[in-house]
Amino acid sequence: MLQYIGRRLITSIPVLWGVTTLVFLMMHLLPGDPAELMMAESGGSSQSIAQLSHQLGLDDPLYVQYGRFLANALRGDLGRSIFTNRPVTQTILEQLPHTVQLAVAAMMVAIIIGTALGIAAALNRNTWVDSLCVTIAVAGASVPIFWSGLLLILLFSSLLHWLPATGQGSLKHLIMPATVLGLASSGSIARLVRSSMLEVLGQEYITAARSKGLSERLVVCRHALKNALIPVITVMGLQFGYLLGGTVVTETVFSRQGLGWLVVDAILWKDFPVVQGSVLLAAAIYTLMNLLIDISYAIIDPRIRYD
Amino acid sequence: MTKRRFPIPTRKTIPRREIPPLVTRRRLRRNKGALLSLAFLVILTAVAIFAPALAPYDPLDVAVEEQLLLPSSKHWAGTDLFGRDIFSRLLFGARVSLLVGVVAVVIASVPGLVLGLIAGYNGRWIDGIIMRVMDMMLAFPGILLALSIVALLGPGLPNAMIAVGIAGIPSYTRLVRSSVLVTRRKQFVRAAYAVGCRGWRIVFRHILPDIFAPVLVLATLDLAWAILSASSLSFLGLGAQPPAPEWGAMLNEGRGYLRQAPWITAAPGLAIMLTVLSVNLLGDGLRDALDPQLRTRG
Repeated sequence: MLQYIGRRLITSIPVLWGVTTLVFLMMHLLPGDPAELMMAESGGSSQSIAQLSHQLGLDDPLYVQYGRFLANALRGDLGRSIFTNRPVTQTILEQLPHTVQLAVAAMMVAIIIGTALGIAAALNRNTWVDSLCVTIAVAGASVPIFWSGLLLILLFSSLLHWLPATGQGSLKHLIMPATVLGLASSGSIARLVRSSMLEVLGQEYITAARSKGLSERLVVCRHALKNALIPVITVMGLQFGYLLGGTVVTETVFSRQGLGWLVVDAILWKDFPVVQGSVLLAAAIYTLMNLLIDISYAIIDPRIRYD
Repeated sequence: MTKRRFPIPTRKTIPRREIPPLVTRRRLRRNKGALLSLAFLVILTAVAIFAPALAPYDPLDVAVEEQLLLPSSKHWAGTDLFGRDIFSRLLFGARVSLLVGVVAVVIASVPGLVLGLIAGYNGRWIDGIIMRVMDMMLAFPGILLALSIVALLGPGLPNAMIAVGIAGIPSYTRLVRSSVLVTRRKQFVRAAYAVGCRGWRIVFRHILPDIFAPVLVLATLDLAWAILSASSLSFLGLGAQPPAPEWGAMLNEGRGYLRQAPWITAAPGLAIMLTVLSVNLLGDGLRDALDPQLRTRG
């Protein structure tokens, strides 16, 4: 097992290096001079643009900039915000817990709703319940987060006054954003649980469990569900990436602080070091999350380790 | 002339009901959800094309005296803050949203297809380089990659299309590469190689038609993602800019008047949902119809 973990850790190092390189190249090779773009809003003179270029080290050769960026990133130094002059790492770390809280809560909502819909559909295969569950799953993935968010705000905040529309700090503030984000993600989980359950329900050990006279509830909960949920773990990694991206819109709709809100704000203000740092960190978290999921999958299903 | 002992299967020797495109069409016809979605999308495309003729008002016409009017016989979906007719803006919005989706899918699929074909057919170091770059791109959550590209190119609809398109390239490259790896081992490809076909002819004449089905399914499902992502970017103020009648941007404009005028956000929200739902259902239907495993079982 340790050997497998070691192997997976080693293979994720080039990916992390690649992600860092890609972020650097995107910021330096795409059309547009970052210094000019940053000063465009304030209408800076060519002298101030040159000064900013020098301050950011953009007048150095590309390989020098790359080496400096990589060395600084390894030390956790992602530069300073153009507007607040605060270290980017510190700014991001302040916002990160809010986003992680939202993403984890949304993931729980997605798993609960997705699993329930998937099981209901599989147990009632080719009936109206199956069709209804599949349609709900597809519809959930089709509703834009920003629209469902606004609808919930209208219903639960403006009309019923049950939940706060914006802000953060309590569980009440988390319910609507997590539901909206989780619902959008539950569709893929529901479809996967359905197909996985259908496959497991056709296995011989399920027939054996039924022939022993076990109740259907025991057969489903104790024998089928446990095995059917294994593939769901793999999709959780992909879903986490989706949720991480989804927090950008959700945080904007519900005026929550977080990484997504920080990125959008930084893009609008052309604060490139913050954009660069946030995107880099999000990609690194996503890569590490996939690594953790791979490892947990290998723990649950030992066959994976020998592939 | 002697008769062949084992005739080569041709259109004439295969029973009509087993000809693959016809099997696919039959399967698709049986799927009511996919058919309904296809009908909706055909109507939507027609609406988008003939929007100037169908729209009762100019979508950009400001009429301050008619602001925030409830839906009525005069304004079917009401008016917005500037007194613009929401129904007319919706019709023109269909044009923008569908165009954004299709262009983004083309931007994603064409390079993705070419890179996947090169990686899968050539193998070796070219494959290694292409796939490592794709792995790096896949390490970014899709919308975040699109966001960072918009950050550099600047807000605006064309840039949003490019950003969403670029973010979609890795999924096509991966799919095409894996399909090519399977197809290049098939007998007809080996036969083409044995009779001396050139590499490009094998790729375009023999491999490409064989891998077309999964690419078509991915493109359909990707269209839904592209429409959603582009409207999300517009909602965030990074895609279509006011006063362009884009559904995501329209939702953003109505945000501040949620209580006083919920119809401003209701109509574009419903339009996005129905379009994305239809594309998703059609993509699912296509996947089921084209899945050879399902076909052999059926």
